[in-house]
Amino acid sequence: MISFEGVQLSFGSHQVLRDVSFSVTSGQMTAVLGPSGSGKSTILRLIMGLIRPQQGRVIVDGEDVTKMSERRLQRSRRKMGMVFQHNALFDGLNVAENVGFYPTYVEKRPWKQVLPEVEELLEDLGLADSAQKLPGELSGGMRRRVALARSLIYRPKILLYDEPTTGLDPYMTEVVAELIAEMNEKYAVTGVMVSHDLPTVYDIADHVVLIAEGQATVVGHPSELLRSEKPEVIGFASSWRRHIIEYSGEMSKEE
Amino acid sequence: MRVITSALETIGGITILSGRVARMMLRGGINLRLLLEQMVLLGVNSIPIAVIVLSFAGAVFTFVLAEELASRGAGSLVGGLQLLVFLQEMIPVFSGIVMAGKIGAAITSEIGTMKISEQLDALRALSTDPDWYLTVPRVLAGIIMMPVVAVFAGYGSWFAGYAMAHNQIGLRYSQFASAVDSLVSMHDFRMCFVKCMIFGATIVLVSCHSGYVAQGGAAGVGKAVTNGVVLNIVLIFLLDLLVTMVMG
Repeated sequence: MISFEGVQLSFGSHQVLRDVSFSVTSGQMTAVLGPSGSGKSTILRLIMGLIRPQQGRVIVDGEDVTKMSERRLQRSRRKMGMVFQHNALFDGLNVAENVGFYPTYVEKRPWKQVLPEVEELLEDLGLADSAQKLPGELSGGMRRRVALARSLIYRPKILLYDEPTTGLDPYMTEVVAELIAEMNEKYAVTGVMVSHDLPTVYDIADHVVLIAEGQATVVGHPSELLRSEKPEVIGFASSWRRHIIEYSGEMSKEE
Repeated sequence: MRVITSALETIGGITILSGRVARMMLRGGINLRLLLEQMVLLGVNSIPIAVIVLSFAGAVFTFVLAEELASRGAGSLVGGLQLLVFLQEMIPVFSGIVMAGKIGAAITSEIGTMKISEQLDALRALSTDPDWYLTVPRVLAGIIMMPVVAVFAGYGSWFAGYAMAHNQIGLRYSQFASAVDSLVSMHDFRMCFVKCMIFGATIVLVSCHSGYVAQGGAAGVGKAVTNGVVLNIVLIFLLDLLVTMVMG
């Protein structure tokens, strides 16, 4: 569904990605882990075609997004949705208008036709009472759900999540993680999630890719984080070891 | 050297943006709802402040000129002279400065904030060209509404000038307006509207560009707003000179 082939990217003299190659399987959720500043969010931007690499290819649904004109990219992006780290909701539009943005401005459908779909989705996400509120009037968890709804309304094949649970309290983190898992299943999307939040990764990811020192290492299932003998995975996991053991312990107790 | 590079980058950026916007407009890529919203925000909401500023300018102009002309027996020329000077210079330039301060700053801060909060990326992720959604309706609204603002501001300055002339040298309205036919021609009105449309487009393009290149958080947006307003004011005077020389 998505594959990176020898991707290299620098910002000025700082090389972020040296030689990144990995694939994302269709219909599954892949978590991209890695230390801060390792280029995890850059991976999502490359998939979306918001930035282009200096070398290598990013294939999305059979098309190389690195070589496309902006106009073709606009068409290609119709199969993708992205939930940004800070939500990136449009300040001047209320919740309903934010959620109905794509059908109104891209599909150019009349608002009367769009509104019932928006209301149904807001109902699904527990935001029915907030349709007329502005983003500034919402809590962090509500804003995250609006951002998710804005992407879900056009039923994309691929959903990209940039730190979907960052900045949320533990309860809201759990709610959002459950929501992501539920929506992925309901709408059968291929997901790529950048996260620091290991419990969420354990909960909803099928695969883990580790980005460290500009390279990607395919870890496999999240449980492989502790078992892997790859030096870069051991290096990353050691700093998270306590959290991973604690959480995988809790998981096995629950199981 | 850095200043020259930065100036060239800005000029290049604004030129490229203008080209993209012109292409989109020619292709007919305009959303009527967005255009009407911007016409209200940029134009209708700017009329009161433009009228106030130009009314004071009209009153001051007449205050300086009326007694001087009256003492030479040419008091009846006040209205005609005021209209001539205001049509050619004061209305477009003062309205331009008001718009640069009020609208230009608002556009730059809005787009700059959208940039640093990833809203521009969100637009692109939603298959929407930020130029289509943000720049085109604003530029078109600037071109359409700047002359409208100028008409209201012009009336403000005219009546404020008359009130001052009446108060100072006792001119009746018919006397105040008596020299208009001989001093003012349709060409002066044309020049006023052409300048207004050019300033309207320039102010919005410069302000949008300043917002698009903003970086580095709130301080970066503040800097972008200052740069945008300063550049707009300089460009208004430069373009005023060029248009006057060409149409003169």
